[in-house]
Amino acid sequence: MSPLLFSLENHEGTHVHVSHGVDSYWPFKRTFRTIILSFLPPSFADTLQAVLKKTFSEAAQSESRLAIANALDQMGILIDFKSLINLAIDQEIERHVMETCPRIRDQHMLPELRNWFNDRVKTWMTDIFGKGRRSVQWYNYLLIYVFASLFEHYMLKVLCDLRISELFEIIVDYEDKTHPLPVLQDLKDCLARTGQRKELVKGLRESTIKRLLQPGAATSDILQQYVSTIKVLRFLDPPGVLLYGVAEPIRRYLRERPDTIKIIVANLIPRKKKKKDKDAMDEDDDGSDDEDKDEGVLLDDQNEPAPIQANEEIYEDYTDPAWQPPANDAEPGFRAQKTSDIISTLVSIFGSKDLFIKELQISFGQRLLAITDGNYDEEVHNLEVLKIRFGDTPLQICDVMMKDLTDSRRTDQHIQDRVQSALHPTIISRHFWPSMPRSTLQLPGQLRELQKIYENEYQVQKQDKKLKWLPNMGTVELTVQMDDGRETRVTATPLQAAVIELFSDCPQWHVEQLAERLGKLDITSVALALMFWQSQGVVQDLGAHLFRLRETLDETAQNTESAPAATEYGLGVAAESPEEQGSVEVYWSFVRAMLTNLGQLPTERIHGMLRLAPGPNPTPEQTLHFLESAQREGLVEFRDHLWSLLRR
Amino acid sequence: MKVIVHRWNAIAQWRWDVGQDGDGPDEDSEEDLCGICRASYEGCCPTCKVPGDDCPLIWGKCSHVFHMHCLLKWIATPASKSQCPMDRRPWGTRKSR
Amino acid sequence: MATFSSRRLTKELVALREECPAGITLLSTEDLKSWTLSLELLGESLFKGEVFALRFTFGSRYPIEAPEVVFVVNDKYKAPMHPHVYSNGHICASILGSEWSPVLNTSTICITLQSMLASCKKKERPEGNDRYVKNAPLSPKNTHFLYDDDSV
Repeated sequence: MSPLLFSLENHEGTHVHVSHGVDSYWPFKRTFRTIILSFLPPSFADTLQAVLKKTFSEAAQSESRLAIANALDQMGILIDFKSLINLAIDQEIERHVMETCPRIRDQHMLPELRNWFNDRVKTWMTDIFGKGRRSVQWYNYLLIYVFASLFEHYMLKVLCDLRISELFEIIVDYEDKTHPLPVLQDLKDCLARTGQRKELVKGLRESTIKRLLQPGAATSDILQQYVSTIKVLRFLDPPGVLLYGVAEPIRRYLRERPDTIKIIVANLIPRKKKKKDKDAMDEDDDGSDDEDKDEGVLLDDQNEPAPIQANEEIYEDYTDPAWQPPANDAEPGFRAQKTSDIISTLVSIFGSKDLFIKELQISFGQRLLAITDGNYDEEVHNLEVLKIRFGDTPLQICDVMMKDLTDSRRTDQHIQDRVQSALHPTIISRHFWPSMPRSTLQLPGQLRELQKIYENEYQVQKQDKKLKWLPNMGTVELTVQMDDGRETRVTATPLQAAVIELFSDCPQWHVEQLAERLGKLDITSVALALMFWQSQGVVQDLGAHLFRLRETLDETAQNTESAPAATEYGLGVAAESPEEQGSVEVYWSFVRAMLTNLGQLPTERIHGMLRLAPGPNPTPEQTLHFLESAQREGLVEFRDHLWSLLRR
Repeated sequence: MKVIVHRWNAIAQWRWDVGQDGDGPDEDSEEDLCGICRASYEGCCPTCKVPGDDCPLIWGKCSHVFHMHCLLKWIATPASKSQCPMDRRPWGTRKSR
Repeated sequence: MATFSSRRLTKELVALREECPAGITLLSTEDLKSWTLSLELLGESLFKGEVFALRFTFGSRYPIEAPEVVFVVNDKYKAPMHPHVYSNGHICASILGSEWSPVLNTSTICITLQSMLASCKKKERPEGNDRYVKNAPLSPKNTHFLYDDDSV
């Protein structure tokens, strides 16, 4: 404490004397004050500020505060440092909020802050401005109260600013198990007092654009964050004005991402829930709180599926007693959202339901065709859920798909009764299924025979109808029986089956011959089918596009040398398990055949083709990693963005 | 070497047998449309939701083919004079192809 | 029945938007009930260089029932001077009446009317035009025309 203050403090007696005559007191005081102020060194303000700051942080220091305030008051200069005092309070509030609140998610900070404020700040203000200060008589208790509320408001503003700056992370964390609602309740309360809605929209919008809407972000993550943003902002502002301002750039960005629809649609159809079904038997749906969300489903299951509302259908129901005009900060394009259904909001990104329905139909069809065990119950259930959301009419096509499946099964049973056949076709109604890749594939030998018998029997059953095969679709379970007794049982594509069927006629084929024979197919797809059989040890590559059946095991042993395996080139290094080792070999035989047949290929193309190989699908990174290790081994070279084979 | 097929899950489309043989064009050509509703034979008439046996075709003796529901609607109007919409000859249904 | 006509009309509209017959242009289609198309004759004919407009009004029973088709008569368009066309735009053509068939459509009607105009040998109004126009019902569909010429 400065000695000057102490010395002045001791002059209280003088003060009292002078106050005798009212006439003489005020001019004296004015003059005295002027003289004092002119004596004060320039550093006085800074020093005082530092002292004031200290009076906050020290423990029991009511006396020191009173001492400072009394001294300033008696010199009549307390009022001159009012703004400095205010600033000290502001700074103390900032310090305290920034010290206690950042990164807190699961705790209401507001009550604590208010306690602290009443406890510390209000007491401090009372000490400084309060009781019996002559020069500040107008600071009676009421005024201190008013004053305090201004500072409390400032405290809310500081907290609000902090939470706005953290809001993006809060939303990121939203899907976590710990429910971060307390922090949002604080923010909501602050907003109601401070009205920093514009700042919130601006801040969240900026951080969203900067941190989320980037090419590196996965579409599913963007959607997830969008859904969380919707939930959080709807909580903060039920009419949705805040959301509108923040969502707009996200929606625009999502609209331009090609896979957005697909991902939303994939999430609309509930995934397989193996465990859940069991749980549901034991207890009711309530137990879904800690249900594992590992599937990354965007949509909250708590919401009962509700009919979708497309954008254009939004209307305002003025007869609704709960109707309120949009908040006055609503942007011109803002329309109150009637439903709180997230899916409706996601669907409305695209303006109309039509695109969605199309994707839904495609995805539904694909899933149905993927079912081979005849158990459609789950899809029937899914369809019902989707119908609640989208209405019956748009999903009638899916009904037809379902009916095709059940009809096919019934027809097949009738036909099997008459002619037992290994062939079990799914007979679909064209125009009602997603378009399927066309193929000129002509199946040879017994495969064609199976088709013919079935066709004829079908026409007996359904007099006015006939069958048109989609020859490249479906799967064939078959066993290749070698003359030496070896058996290979596989599930093959029809093309793979067709290729091996031709080998049962003639043990040696040119790729071109096969392609011609199978209906003028492209060489690559035939080569890939050959790769499959090669990897099964059924055929061998003689080079120069010539393939031959491996009739005996001896031959197999010999031929491993002539067709070098991946391990010999050291490619096995990339593999970490025997399983991976196996796929590396398959990959290599694929890549070698591809590059032999096609010359040079870019990485993406090779990756695309590797996905056709049996075994696990490599990621693009794995493909590149694989190619690079092949390059290190001197097997391939990379030039002008193209890979080609280095012959030894 | 022998290939034994155990089970073959295939996919086929059904088609109405309207007398065209072989691999017709896959896309709708004029011949594949019902002249009245202009929907594909393998689609359904505008009042139906499910194609196929629920919305069958009707073959005329004059060789013209329509969705049965479409043709019946037409024949039911006096203006049709019970004529085939295509050739205006008296309509006669062919019992079997 | 409403879906019947609207499905068929949707298909027709898609086709017309893709490609109209020569000399025919889609002018307006406010909804699926009423369309306006312009019609002109491209080859040599008495009507060369003239542009007409046709207004189609489709009922809910289209195409089982014929649409109402008239030439637009207003400040911009006149009805062609033709022995089967009244000055109020009403057309006396059998395909729009007793010879209607549900396999006909907007395109084929336009083409038929084009050929009706193209085959015209003398530009004149039908006999009794003034009397008809004075007493004509709003829609020509309520008129019982006697088709004296089977070619249209």
